[in-house]
Amino acid sequence: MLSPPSSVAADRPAGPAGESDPDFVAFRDLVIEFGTGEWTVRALDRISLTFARGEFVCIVGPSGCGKTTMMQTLAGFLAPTSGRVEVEGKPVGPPGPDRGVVFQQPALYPWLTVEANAGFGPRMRGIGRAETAETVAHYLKLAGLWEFRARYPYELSGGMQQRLAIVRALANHPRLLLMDEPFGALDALTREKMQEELHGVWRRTGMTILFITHSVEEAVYLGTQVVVMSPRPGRILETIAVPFARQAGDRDIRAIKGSADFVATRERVLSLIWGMAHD
Amino acid sequence: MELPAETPAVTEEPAVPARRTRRRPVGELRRRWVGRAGVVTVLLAWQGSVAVGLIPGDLLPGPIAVAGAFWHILWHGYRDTTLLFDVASTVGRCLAGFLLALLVGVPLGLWMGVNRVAAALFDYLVQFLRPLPPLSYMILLILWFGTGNLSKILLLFLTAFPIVASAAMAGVRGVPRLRTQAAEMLGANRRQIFLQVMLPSAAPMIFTGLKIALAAAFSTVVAAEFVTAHSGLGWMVLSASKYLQNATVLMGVVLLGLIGMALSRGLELLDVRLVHWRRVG
Ligand SMILES: Nc1ncnc2c1ncn2[C@@H]1O[C@H](COP(=O)(O)OP(=O)(O)OP(=O)(O)O)[C@@H](O)[C@H]1O
Ligand SMILES: [Mg+2]
Repeated sequence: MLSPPSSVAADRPAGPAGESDPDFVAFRDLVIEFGTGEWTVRALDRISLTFARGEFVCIVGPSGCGKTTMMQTLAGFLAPTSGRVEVEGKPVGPPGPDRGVVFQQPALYPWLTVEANAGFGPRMRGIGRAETAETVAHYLKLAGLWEFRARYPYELSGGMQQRLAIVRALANHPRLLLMDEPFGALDALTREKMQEELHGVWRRTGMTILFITHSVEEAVYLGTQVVVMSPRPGRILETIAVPFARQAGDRDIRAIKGSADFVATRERVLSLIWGMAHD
Repeated sequence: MELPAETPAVTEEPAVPARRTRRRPVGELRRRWVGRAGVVTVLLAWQGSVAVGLIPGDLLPGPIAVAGAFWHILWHGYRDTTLLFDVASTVGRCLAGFLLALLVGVPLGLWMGVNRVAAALFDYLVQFLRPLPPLSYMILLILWFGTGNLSKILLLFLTAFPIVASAAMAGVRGVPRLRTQAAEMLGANRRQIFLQVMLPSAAPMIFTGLKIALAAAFSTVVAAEFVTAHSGLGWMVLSASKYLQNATVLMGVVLLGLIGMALSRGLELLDVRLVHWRRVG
């Protein structure tokens, strides 16, 4: 694994420094079923997936294949029917600030200003005012929302709201960031800008991210790994490593998306998805 | 934490963030003047019809006669009461019953919203009271609690309470799951989720309930004063009608209408201030 710029190391989550833990997150034979008796739906069928700290894992797959279910289990909103989900070798507990979630809708609090929304997590956890203000200011500036700190969420555009939702999750310094199609509702241009910004945050912080998307292109651009899932019941078809994911230097989004490596990887993922459709 | 400075994100937001304006748009101002002109027109037409004998003045006195009755009663009172005392009686009873309903109904409704047992326990009571015309059981309250203020305030409480309680319950039940899930993952405990997410989420619906409850209490207070009272605008109106003092009756009716408007306007102002996100969130 290429090491990120040294200035970033301080921001990395606590843990044995530099030690790579291949099973940082582990889904082990995870089964999730909804309903009971005759009406049982098996949303996830013996999912096994592990990845190391610092990975950017993108999940793609047809609608209804269980992507959201998988993330909700890792977040702690759903309990496994059987199997386990572990972080650092320990089964995940109820939802908590160590696992930040960005939902498909921003789900902000309209009665709070942008700044108060961003600081909601630290405030709930009893972090001091000064420290909260500092963290919030940092991320709001990063997300280009600083001038809007005294406004309310309904005064922001959809893209700005989604950025605020990301800031809100980041303000807790989570070990893991879980994102469920966060850019699904954005136009193509805004979406690419957000992809760049998110990738920048990931590069600088070395955070571990699980990212769900319907866009293969988005997955291949952002991910260090792309997990392809198949539906009914939800299974993992294949995990593809993205060769250029950690290449050093400037990442010009247009140059990358036009590069031969990118196109080859994208085509590989797409052919898997097409193969599924022909079965 | 030491992160490299970042160029501000290029985004689609407007270049100059304008402050939220509280100024009234021009259209709103014009609408107000049109409304006032309408009122003046009706008053003029009314007075005119009485003046030319189109309407018999003893049955429907004109606005000038009504204003005269107001002026007279303002200075000389009506029977043994002063006008101020009658207004205060009516408004005081109404607000007492309403506030009692608020103090009991909001907490109970919130509790019913979060607790199944509480909901099961009180649901029938609330569902039973809500559509029940208060006047149907008023006579019982008078028998039990006398003809004084106590029975009236209880009546108004029973009128407003089921409305407030069911609004608070519906408000809590309607909190989007994503909002509480977001709070959970951000590290809020159950108490914080209730106080900082569910309560504000339910606020718009609670306020709607309060507005309806106040209107209901206000119409019931007048009816209650019709049945048994020695003060209050309802009593004054009924008493004056017995002596065919139609100008006084009309004066009472107009005053009731204006007070009702003022009461709901007050609550509306509070609503706009406290629940500023209502129209959008
Ligand atoms: N609460 C629930 N009750 C019953 N079935 C559910 C529930 N949640 C999900 N499912 C089922 O589980 C399966 C997987 O759902 P999930 O939301 O995880 O899909 P997804 O991959 O996120 O789809 P999309 O891409 O459309 O968001 C679906 O078949 C769905 O019908
Ligand atoms: Mg989904």
